[in-house]
Amino acid sequence: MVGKYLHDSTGSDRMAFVPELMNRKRYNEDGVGGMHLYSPWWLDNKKLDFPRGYHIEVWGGLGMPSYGTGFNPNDLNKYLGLKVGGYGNQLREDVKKFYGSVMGMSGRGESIAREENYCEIDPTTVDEFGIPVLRFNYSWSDHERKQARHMHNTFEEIIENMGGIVLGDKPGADRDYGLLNPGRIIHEVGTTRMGSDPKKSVVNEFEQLHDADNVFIVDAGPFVSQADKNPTWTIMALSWRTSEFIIQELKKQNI
Amino acid sequence: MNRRDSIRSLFLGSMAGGLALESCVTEPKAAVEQKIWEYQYGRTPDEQAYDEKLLGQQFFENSELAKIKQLANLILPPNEEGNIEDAKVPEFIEFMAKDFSSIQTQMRGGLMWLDNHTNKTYGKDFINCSDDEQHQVLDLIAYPDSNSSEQKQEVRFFSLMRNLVMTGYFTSEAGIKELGYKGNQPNVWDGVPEDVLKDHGMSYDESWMPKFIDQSKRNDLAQWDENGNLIS
Repeated sequence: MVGKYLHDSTGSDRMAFVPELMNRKRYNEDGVGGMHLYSPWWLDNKKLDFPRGYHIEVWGGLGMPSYGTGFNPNDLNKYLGLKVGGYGNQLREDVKKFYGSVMGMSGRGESIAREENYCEIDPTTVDEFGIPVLRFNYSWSDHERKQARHMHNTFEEIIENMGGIVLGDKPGADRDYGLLNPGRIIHEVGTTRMGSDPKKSVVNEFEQLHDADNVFIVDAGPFVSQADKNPTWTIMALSWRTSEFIIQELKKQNI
Repeated sequence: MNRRDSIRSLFLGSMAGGLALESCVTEPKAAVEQKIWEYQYGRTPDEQAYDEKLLGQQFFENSELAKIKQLANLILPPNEEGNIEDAKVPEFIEFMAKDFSSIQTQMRGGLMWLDNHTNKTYGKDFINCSDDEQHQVLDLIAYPDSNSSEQKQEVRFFSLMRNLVMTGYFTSEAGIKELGYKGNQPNVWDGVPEDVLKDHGMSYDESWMPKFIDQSKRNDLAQWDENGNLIS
């Protein structure tokens, strides 16, 4: 069982240009994007062609300039019927005009944990310390691809309704509907799944190995599934419970 | 000590480790300070060695740097807001060419194209051309063909140069000021200013206003009663 049921969050992103946000008044807008909120999935999966759900993180704003700020300074002019390219002080005005007028949405969702997605010790490769590295065998199924397609339909609906212009082509079936590769959302969990049956799981409800009483796994390995959200809080909650269990068992001299 | 007990003391040892560390922090304070400042700007020894290697090299010839400076001044002419010299744009481009070596060939090739072109057309190097002649050259390469996804080499070179100049300037002190970036002000954030909301026909929901943090009380400590209930 060790190594199996590896799963990451699904992810797909889209950007948009919002003409109404050109020439914005400047104010401190640091930290207003990327907010996370735990909320139930409210669409009816019976009416959808994929299981589980996803959330959307919205980003953009008058952020701190960094490498890349000012690249393609007036490419967005093409949506305004104006000339693209050139040189001279007009470029200063272009950069200022478009600053803060591009926003984006990132969909992050729940994938289905499947036994055939697994990692194993690579027999031929070691890291700089001589320790064998992991080798990953992971592919998406239509569950995740169709979810990504739904994400893009939703992004476009929201963007169009807010008067924005969707940037880039809509990714089609040839690109898995924009679904990012497994591992890209860095929420890899599973591989030492929790359960009561030692044949189908690696650890028990206290993250204690079925095979060894004094070994506990307190990372995301024991997850049998994960919501569309970041796994850290759940790792912390489970570790807390495990810690209490360890202390209790230690007092009884059981471990 | 039997095996169980020794494991237990090991385990408790790691639990108590945090406390123990804290209690001995005062003694080797100098050692701790030194450890912190060893990586002066947050670099590991490997990274520091890489930085030193980059900073100890020069990629562009001085004649190339002079051309870069001239191009940068044409792309972003100086005005009262700022100029590329103060923003150290040529130095930035020199650094990027070393740190991001995949642009080296395109940069060097493009700079050579400039002289080839002006020698053929005007019989002299780009740097010695008149303002008008330099503008004529840029007019040839500064406007990518919007009907084609493939651009000529010299057009792609100029787009890269323009990107480096623009990002070099707008990440400098003058450029950030000109852009009007207002962030990096920690602690107090009181929402989107009212006049901005109004301009976009938006407003905060009145029923939510009392739930937002009252910034005048943001430094007050919470109070609990003896049962651990929050009372303020």
